[in-house]
Amino acid sequence: MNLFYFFSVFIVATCGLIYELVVGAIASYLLGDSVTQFSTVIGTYLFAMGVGSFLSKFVTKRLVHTFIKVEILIGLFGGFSATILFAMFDHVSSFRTLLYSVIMIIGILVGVEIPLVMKILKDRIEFNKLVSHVFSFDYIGALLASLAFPLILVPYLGLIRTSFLFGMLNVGVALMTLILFKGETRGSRSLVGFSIISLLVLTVGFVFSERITQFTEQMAYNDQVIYSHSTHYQRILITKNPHELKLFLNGNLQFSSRDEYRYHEPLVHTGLASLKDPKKVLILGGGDGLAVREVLKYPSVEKILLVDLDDKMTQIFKTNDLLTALNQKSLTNPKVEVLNGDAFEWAKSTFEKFDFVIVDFPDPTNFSLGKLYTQKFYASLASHLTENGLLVVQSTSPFVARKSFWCIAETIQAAGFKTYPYHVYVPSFGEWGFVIASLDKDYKQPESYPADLKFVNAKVSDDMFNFPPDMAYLKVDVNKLNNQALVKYFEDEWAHYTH
Amino acid sequence: MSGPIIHTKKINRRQFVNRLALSGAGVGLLSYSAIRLTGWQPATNTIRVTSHNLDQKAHLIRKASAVNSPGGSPEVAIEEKVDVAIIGAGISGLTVGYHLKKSGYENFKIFEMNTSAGGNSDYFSSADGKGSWGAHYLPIIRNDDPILKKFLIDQGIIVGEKDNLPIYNEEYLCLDPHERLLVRGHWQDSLIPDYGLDSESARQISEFHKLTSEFKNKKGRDGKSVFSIPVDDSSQDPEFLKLDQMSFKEFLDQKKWNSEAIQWYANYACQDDFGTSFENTSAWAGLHYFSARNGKAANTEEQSVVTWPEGNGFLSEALQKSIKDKIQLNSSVQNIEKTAIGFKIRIQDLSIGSMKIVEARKVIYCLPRFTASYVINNATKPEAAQYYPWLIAHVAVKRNCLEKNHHLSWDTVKFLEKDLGYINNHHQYLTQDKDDVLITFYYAFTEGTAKENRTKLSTWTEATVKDFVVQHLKKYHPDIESNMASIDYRILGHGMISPSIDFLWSKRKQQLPREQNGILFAHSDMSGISIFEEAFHQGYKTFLKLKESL
Repeated sequence: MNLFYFFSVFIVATCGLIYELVVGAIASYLLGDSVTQFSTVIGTYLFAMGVGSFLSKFVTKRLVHTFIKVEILIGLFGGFSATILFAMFDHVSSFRTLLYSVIMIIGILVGVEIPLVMKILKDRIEFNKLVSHVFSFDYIGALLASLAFPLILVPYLGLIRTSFLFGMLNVGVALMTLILFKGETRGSRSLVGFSIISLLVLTVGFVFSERITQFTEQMAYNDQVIYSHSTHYQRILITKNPHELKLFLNGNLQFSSRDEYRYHEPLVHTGLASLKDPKKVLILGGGDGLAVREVLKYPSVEKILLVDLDDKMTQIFKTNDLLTALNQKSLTNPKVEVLNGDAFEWAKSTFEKFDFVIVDFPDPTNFSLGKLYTQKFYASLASHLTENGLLVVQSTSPFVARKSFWCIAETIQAAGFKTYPYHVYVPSFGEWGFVIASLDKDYKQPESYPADLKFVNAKVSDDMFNFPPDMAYLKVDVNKLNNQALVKYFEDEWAHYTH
Repeated sequence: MSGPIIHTKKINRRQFVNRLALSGAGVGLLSYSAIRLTGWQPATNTIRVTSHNLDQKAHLIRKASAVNSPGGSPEVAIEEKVDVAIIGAGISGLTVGYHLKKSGYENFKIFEMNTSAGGNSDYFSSADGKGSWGAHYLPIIRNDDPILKKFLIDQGIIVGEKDNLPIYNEEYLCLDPHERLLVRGHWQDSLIPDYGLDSESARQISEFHKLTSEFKNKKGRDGKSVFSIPVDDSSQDPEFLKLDQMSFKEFLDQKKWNSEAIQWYANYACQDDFGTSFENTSAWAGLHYFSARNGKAANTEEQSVVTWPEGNGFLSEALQKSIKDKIQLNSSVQNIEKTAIGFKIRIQDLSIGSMKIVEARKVIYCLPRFTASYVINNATKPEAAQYYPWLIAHVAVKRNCLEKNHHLSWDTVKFLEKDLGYINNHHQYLTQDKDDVLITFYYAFTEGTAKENRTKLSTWTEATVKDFVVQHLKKYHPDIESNMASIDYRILGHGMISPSIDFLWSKRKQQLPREQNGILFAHSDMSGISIFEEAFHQGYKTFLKLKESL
């Protein structure tokens, strides 16, 4: 029995030092300057242990009981310490306050431990022996922890799993105490339950620590996620409820099946219907095949080339029944050629000309996508347009991101085009904008449209080109490779809108 | 002592051991299932580490110098005759060749020890991308440099002119975002420390910038720019030259610019550009770094740079394009001897080990100047020239772990760190980002003497380098190790020449003559500052001199 107590002293000492090292390491990772971080963490921790030791004098009854409770609490706080610190780093205003609170709590609890064990044992073992043994085990545990931490634990388990593992050990000691001291802990069924639940929670944390990202992902969507896949370029995710299907790329909504026609009809017909007998159409992006579906409504079109980065994207929209029902199998139509490649590279290295070019990229949410909205990119598209050809660019929301929208229009103009901006209302997105551009010939609104459209007609089209004052033009910078003005406008505007 | 009465139920030793074993088994089972469930395996990612060191080759020269004392070596028949022999295919050697060819002169050869040309603009290339083995950018050039401007126009780097200012090719200008600095756990968008700076430090930095921008347009009493590129075009006004006699650190201290932030920043700049600490860099050279680049362009701001995935390898390739057939790689020059009609050059072909003799009428020596005494009989040893060693490591890594808290930029540096941070070699790609990326980590070993550092580094194995690189990069990204696929590194024993105290305007002039024993010397060493512009101008100047005698 006494041996067990010494064994638990050993475990407790190891765990205590591990938490201190975990927090110290995280502090130096996240805050830098490891000398300062380690020494303040160690100092705070030792001080907290002192506080704990002091407090232990108030525990005079139900010693074993208290010991078990302290063990479980250390297990929980220590076990979750790394997770809490990593997860909260970006979310709390004063990370240091959180850091030192965590280390204080653990330190105080650990400080209570050893005096408690000594009090429990003081009547069973001669005082001289007791002190010597307790401290020997304490220090041996510390040695083991300080060796195992850098050599085994961090390289193989990482910080989060290490803390969960030692949390489990602490709770394990609590459980074993409960088992071995049935007599003394009689009537503490709640403690048994508490420790088993804690052990389970910590085990789950240990097992799933690397999958936490996926938990939060599922939680972020209201509907059932029916497909998710990470490619080299993006995360494709599709959700479904009884009424609609939604596509997300990197968490950004691309369309909802409920109202996507309100986006794709203006994107395609407003420009394409104004051309006389268009023959060749180029679509950059748009791997969902929905714009292709609209283009196929023109019998004069002989060839549609779709250049999309991601083969996974075009593949699933070619083969999945739910998705082909939506795009009417447009991607497998014999007029359509699908090319999986980078649009910028394609535009720079090829020479084929088209009557109508549709640019349907995700919004410029990052610097990589921002390159596909630069003057340089639009200039490279100019050489792919026939003399009377038209270009149309999806241009984000002129209501939410007014500067971004006009920045895109301005940039297209700077690349040598005449521009004709317009906007529509898409319930899933809100007000949405596009820019039609021509090299030479003036653009005129179409006189007629393909039959059976659900949204666009001559009357609707008139309204589209009218910008009310809250979305009207304002002066903005041209987006260039070496200023990425657009991404900055975009981040700024959407951040204000969503927060 | 009277304590609370503990109600104990005695169990015997056997029972205790049984229970202990049982619980032990339980914990073991639990851990085992946890490990199985997570699919955890120890050390799943093995990082491939490959050395690309040139040491072996470089040391051949030195060994050969012992064997090839004049007359002492066995005679090898003359195999080749060439009018002009250029030794070394770094930027200066290539520039001589480029201009010879341009002026219609064909009778020359360039001999290069390495398997590729470029010198400090040599680059690494693999399926993961390209990355420079040294110089990786060119600041937009001064507007009073028509010769370099002509070259940049010919190469499509400058594409036009507007309001008398050059328009640079937008694809080559460093794309946005340019740089980021990790300051005490916080990322900021410029390398100049700013985040959390106290007002005194901020004042010192702004005063420093005020001074360096004043110097940008300042002229000496001789009417020349105080700091110019090439350095030899700088004003010889003693008021400014005297700055060469103190260290850059002393200069800052004298100005009472002693905050941690300004001193780190100045030291970082010296290490990055000169491979030496600011204690060991002259104040003249330190200020030159900040004030000589005063070029303006029509389509970008001052202080911009042009850069490529392969770094200045792009410029070296541009110089090589028209003279590929004149460059002999794997050719280690071991001895140059003067003869009645010119020179006899003893060259070892490193690919097959054989020796040959090349006879040339003119020799242009374009290797680092310290090698000359090993190769050329009676060549002086430039004792004052210091070269600190460098480590350059190309690391293939998952992009995600570099972008967790802040967007990846072209250049990433950490405040108060000794290393020089890393460059993202995919930054200039116009294509969409992929999930993996090749970065280049730089480290200049500037503490202690250069020789001590070289001795230390000569014992470094692939494992030492791996630990070193991982340990440093972890300070930027704690989880980088498990996201790394490979490290390709090169240790440069003599990274570049250092403009140390009193070197540029005194010892350089004495110890590094431009011509000796009839051999012309052209290398950025002759300028004392190892940058593309200097190497180019050294090459060009030597070409002009050579042209007179052809």
